[in-house]
Amino acid sequence: MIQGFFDPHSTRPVPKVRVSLFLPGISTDDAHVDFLLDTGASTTCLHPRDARAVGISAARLLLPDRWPRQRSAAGIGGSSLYYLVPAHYAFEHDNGQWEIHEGEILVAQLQPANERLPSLLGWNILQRFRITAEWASRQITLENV
Amino acid sequence: MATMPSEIERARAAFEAAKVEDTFWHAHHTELLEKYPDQFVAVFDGEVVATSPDLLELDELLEGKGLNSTRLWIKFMDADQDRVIIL
Repeated sequence: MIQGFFDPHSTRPVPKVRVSLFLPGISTDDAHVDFLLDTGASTTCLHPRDARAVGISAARLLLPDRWPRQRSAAGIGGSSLYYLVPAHYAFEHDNGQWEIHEGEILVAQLQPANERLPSLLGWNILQRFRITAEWASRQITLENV
Repeated sequence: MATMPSEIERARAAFEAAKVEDTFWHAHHTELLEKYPDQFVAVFDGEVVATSPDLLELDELLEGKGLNSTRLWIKFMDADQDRVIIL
């Protein structure tokens, strides 16, 4: 079982899970990212405030011509440009075991509207888990299905 | 599910480093929020080295100091902790 957490610095429920993220061809090492569990997101998105941790500078995020695979993604605030790249997601179980999934991630183009947003763990990864989130006990768990 | 030992070692190291970073932010969050509300705060070796409300400007400040901005601890000090997020 993987333990998530509610953001301790928010007075509202903000459910998160810590992931060790590696982007082949971009990262030189793994970095931790605390993803917001987003059951409304069809795929996982890395937003600018977390991109630097995996080796992507803010300036690089501005330049679409440096990213060969691109997608437009629709959200509540409108449509945004994302760059599609391979990603390895590592989760730590509470018994010390690790679970690694290879997939892709959408890296957001830097915009004033998204630079403060949390990164989102969407259904391309969430489909592997049974998710329980209980604000009253401040517990979040992800179990393999 | 892949279980390459080298990947696990890298992931474990990232989580261990994250615990050190967590300890810093937990100890200093209130103080830094008061000093730098609604700004990104960059920390290197336990010291604040740059602040800005804008990520691009923060990068420029760090480059000006010769610091690799991808190897720092950076956190946004959100002054509105009741902010509603709709994604």
